[in-house]
Parts: sequence; structure tokens; C-alpha cells
Amino acid sequence: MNDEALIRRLAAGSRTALNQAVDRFTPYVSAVAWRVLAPSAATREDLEEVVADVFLALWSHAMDIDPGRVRTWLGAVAKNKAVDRLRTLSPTLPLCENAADRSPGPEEETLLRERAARLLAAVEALEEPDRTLFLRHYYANEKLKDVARDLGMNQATARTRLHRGRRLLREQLMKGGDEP
Amino acid sequence: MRQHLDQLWRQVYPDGTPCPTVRPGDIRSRVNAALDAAPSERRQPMRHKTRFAAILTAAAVALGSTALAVTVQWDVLDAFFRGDTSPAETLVDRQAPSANDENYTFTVESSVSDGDTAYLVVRVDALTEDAAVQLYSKYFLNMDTFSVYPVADPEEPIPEDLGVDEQTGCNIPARNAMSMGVREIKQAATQTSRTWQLDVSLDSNEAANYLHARLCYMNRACTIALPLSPAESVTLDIGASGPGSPTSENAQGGTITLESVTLSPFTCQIAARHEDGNKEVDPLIFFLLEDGTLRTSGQLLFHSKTSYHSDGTADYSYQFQEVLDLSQLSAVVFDGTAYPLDGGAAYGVEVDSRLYPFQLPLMDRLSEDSGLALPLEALYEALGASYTWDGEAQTAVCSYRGVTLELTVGSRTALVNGVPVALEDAPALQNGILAVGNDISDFLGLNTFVVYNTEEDSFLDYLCWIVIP
Repeated sequence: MNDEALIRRLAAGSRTALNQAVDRFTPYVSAVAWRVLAPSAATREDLEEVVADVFLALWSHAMDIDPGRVRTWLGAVAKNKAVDRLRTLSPTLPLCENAADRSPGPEEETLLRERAARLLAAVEALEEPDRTLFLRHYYANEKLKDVARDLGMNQATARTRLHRGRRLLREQLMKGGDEP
Repeated sequence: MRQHLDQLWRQVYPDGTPCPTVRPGDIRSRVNAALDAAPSERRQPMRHKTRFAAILTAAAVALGSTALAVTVQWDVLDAFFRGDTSPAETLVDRQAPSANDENYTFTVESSVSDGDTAYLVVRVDALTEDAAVQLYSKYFLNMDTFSVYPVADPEEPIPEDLGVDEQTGCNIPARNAMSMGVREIKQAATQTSRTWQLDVSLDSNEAANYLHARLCYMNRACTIALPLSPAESVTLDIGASGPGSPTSENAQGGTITLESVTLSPFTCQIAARHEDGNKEVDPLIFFLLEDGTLRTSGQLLFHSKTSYHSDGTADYSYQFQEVLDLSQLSAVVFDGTAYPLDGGAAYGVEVDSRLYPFQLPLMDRLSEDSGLALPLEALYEALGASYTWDGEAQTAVCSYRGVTLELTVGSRTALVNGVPVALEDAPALQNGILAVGNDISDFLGLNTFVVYNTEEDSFLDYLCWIVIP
């Protein structure tokens, strides 16, 4: 079911559709939230609560969402709710995502958060159609054949684009290239 | 099912740090727990329905319930199924209800269903010149053209449309089926009418006593309430683990647990559980007929859809290629065990090893625009079928499952049981090996597909062919 049909079902009150939305969009929503929470001492529990709150908001407001822009809506809400969570964690609220100050946390967990945040930022900075290809296949876990079809390309072309994109991202992120 | 983000992470950060994914299953638990514990949240969707409830006008009620006399030209069974459809004739609804406004008449010519899927043939007649132009416009068929969804009560209010698509002029319905296949029956088209076949998923979590069906170029008052009389189905509790089938992302297959198999004359539903959530494995079952013959999934089924769940379970839905006469089916076979339809005790059966999936090497494309080719002789050898090659005539003659195929190098015409058939590409010799296009799999009832390279960071996109007899 495509995003538009899913939102319509959500608006009609289908819990099945809500569960499908959770399955489909959790990677993307959690990555957006993580990008905000990365500089803080937020725990995994905090992240899961933020992500869950985003889907509860989706349930409440499905009728008001433009079905064609559900990802944009989810990203905006995820960012806002993550910022709200930051307020409860520290009296010093980072003014932007690139705030230098961050509370100390387990070194490895901090590294993971930062990498996840940078990876999403790098993916979102890709040019189209690669940006949509990466977001839908890797973050929304959609089958490549479905995404390729919607983008008007065959699967071989889509796979080539994914391969080149992954190589670009790796070069950019592992070698300490410019921040996207 | 493996999260694709895992794959991206490992390739972008190859130093082994784990991908910090949040599990959708954990989020679902939180969300559903919150909704179940908060009555106000649970009521909110109901308030949405009330706010957008439509009141059917007397005219709409008359349109929805009047069975207009319509000549049915296209039968739903013939549209969806091959061969002898007589076992299901009594299940077809041919009352042909219709609705019309000043521009269109929308008719459900015939329909049939089981507990999982409803199959319909619908016709749209344009009543004006402008409507006929719109009917054949580029964007007439779009994702919102038809709104079809199951309801428990035919009087259930129809939600107000979300708006109108400015490009197409089509209303955007607030409700639609979880999934719906739409294919035009082009042979039925006239200058003022078009006909489509629809297969509509019936949400198993909701009672499906009726379908609300509408052409969304008409307003929602023109919704038809179509009663459903689903065919009876039988469910076999399997509860066993065994070998599953390879997929396009997993050449090796693996172990899968089949929880149950539900059969109707039209569909086969399989509830399964994956042993390894990171491996895509499909069910591998056979059908034992009353006459003792064994049929494969490839012979009987079309894959329809798969729903993966975060708890490792999956629901597979298949349509039968031909209407299944359940009285002729003795048992479903999985991992060498037959599970009788009459609920009797399961027993062991021997399955010819040549009926299990196997791999074949890839061969070069036959033309610039074609897919990869198959090695014909190796295919027939693996199937245990007859194959002869006439080097002088450059012709191969091979037989499998009652189908004799005759192919000639350089010729796009093959003979299938003596009948000329056009091939997408002419067979060719590649290093002395006869290579053919994958379209021959359709003649032989094989499920043949390539396996993609999802692991290695290389330009090698495909690994091998998988053939499922």
C-alpha cells in the first residue's frame, strides 16, 4: 500500500494501518529524532518514547495530513518532539542541531548517535532521485522494485544508483569530509 | 525481515560498529499500549468518522439498491482464472448493480470472493461527449479512480472525500482497500465504455459483509453496496518447520515455520514465521490431489502479496491460477509431510527432488533491451525432462509436463505443442550453449527469477537464476 492509501486508512481509524505506518516509518522517524538528540545525554528509552509520540500524533492528526507529504510531516513532528524532549533532559537547550556542547555519555553510544545523525543528514543532502531512493529503500524499508517502479527506473539502474551513492556516502563520512 | 538500514550502515561504516536501529516492534508495543490505555485516544477515530459521515440521499439509496438490467459481457472468473472455472460458477454474483449520474454509469458486472480477496469486473459507461473524452484521457486511471473497501454494514456512512485532484478532476476518497489490483480488459473497450478487473484485499481484521464500491469521478452518493458471499475455505494447522524457498534476495533459502495454510477455491493464505529475521525465505509447499498426483506451487499459484511483521511472522497471499476444486485436493505437503484437508493425521510422502528449487548460471543478454538469458539444456536436465539438440538445424526439442517446446537459434518463433508462439528474443548460442529468454518459463509453468547481490560492494548485481518447478 502506498503512503497515500495508508494515510487514508489511518484517517478512517484503522489500527492495522497504524501498525503498518510504524513498521514503515520507524527507521526514518528515529533517525530524525536521533539527529536532534545526539548531542545530549538522551537514552534509548528517551528516543523510543519520542518515536512513539510521533506515531501517536500521526494517529490523532491523520485526517489533517496531506497524504502525499506524510514523510515531511513525520520528519517535522519528530524534530519538534525531539526538541521538546531535550528540554526535559537539560536546562541548557541546544539552539541548533550543530551545537558544540554536549553532555557526556558512554563513548560508544555517543559515536553511534553521531554517526546515525550524520548519515541521515548526508542522505537527505543527496540529489534526486537518489535522495528519495535512499530514504524509501533504507529508511522506510520499502522493496527496491517498488521504489524503482515509482521513480520510473528499472531495478538494475536503481541498484547501480544505490551502489554509487553508498560509495559516495562512505567516502564522505569515513574520511571526515565536509559536513553535509 | 531484515532492516535495509542495516545494509546501508555496514557499507558506509565498515568498521563493524552496530547499526543503532530502533525496532519497529518496540514502537508498536508502546503505541498500542498507549492507545489501549487511553479511551479518549481510542474514541478519536470514531469522532472522525462521525464528523465526516455522509447521509445517503433517497436517490442514492435507490441507485445503490436497484439492480439495473445490464448485459454482462465479461465474467469475473474468466477474467482472473485459467481453465475450467465451473467449480466456482455458483459463487459468482451477476446481479450487476450500477449507479449513474449525469456523466457516467458505473456497473459491477460480476463479482466473487473468499475471506481474503474480492474479485470484480466493473464497467464505466460515459453518458456524454465530454465524459467520453475524460474516460479516455491520459490520467483517467489513477490511484483514486476506484474506491472499493469492505464494510460490515451496507448503511455504514461514507466518509467525505479528501478533496478533488486538480489534474484529473477525480474525487480523492477518504477510504479505500488496503490493496487493490486494477487491470483493464482492453478487449471489452468501446468508444464510450471501458472495463476493468479489480482484485480487492479484504482486511481480515474487519468484518467484510459488503463492499462499498464507487467510481470516484462520481460523488460518494453514487456508492454501490455490494453484498459479499465469500466462498468457504479450509484451514490446515501445520505448526512445523522445514525448508523454505529461495527468493530474489536470498539464493540459499533457509528454514521457515508454517503456522497454517488456508485454502479457498481462489486463494491460498500462508501464515509463517521466519527462523532468521535477516533472511528472506518464502514458503515451499506442494498440493497432493485425490488422484495421487503432486502439483507444485509454481503450477498452481500466483504470488499476490506478502505482509511482514516485526515479530518475525509473515502472511503470504497467493491466487490460484485456476479455480481450485477443493474436493479434488487431498492434502497440502510441506517438508515431506502431507496435511490432509479432512483434518486427518499428517503422514509422510516422498517428493521428487527435482520438484525442489534449484540454481542455474546466468547467461548474457540476448539483446540490448532484454533480460539475462537461461541455459536451456541445463534447465531441462535439472528438471529431469527430455532434451534433444539438432546441431544441423540448430533446433532444440524439449518436453516437460506435457508441453513440448521447439526452439531454433536466431528465430523468435517457437513451437509450443506445435503451435507457433512469439518469443521476446531469439535463442542464441553462447560459447556453444543454447541461451533462451526467461519467457519460456511461462510455457512450462516455472517460477524463474534472478537473485540480486545484496551483500558485496561491487557492480555485480545478479548472482544466479532460481528455478522453482
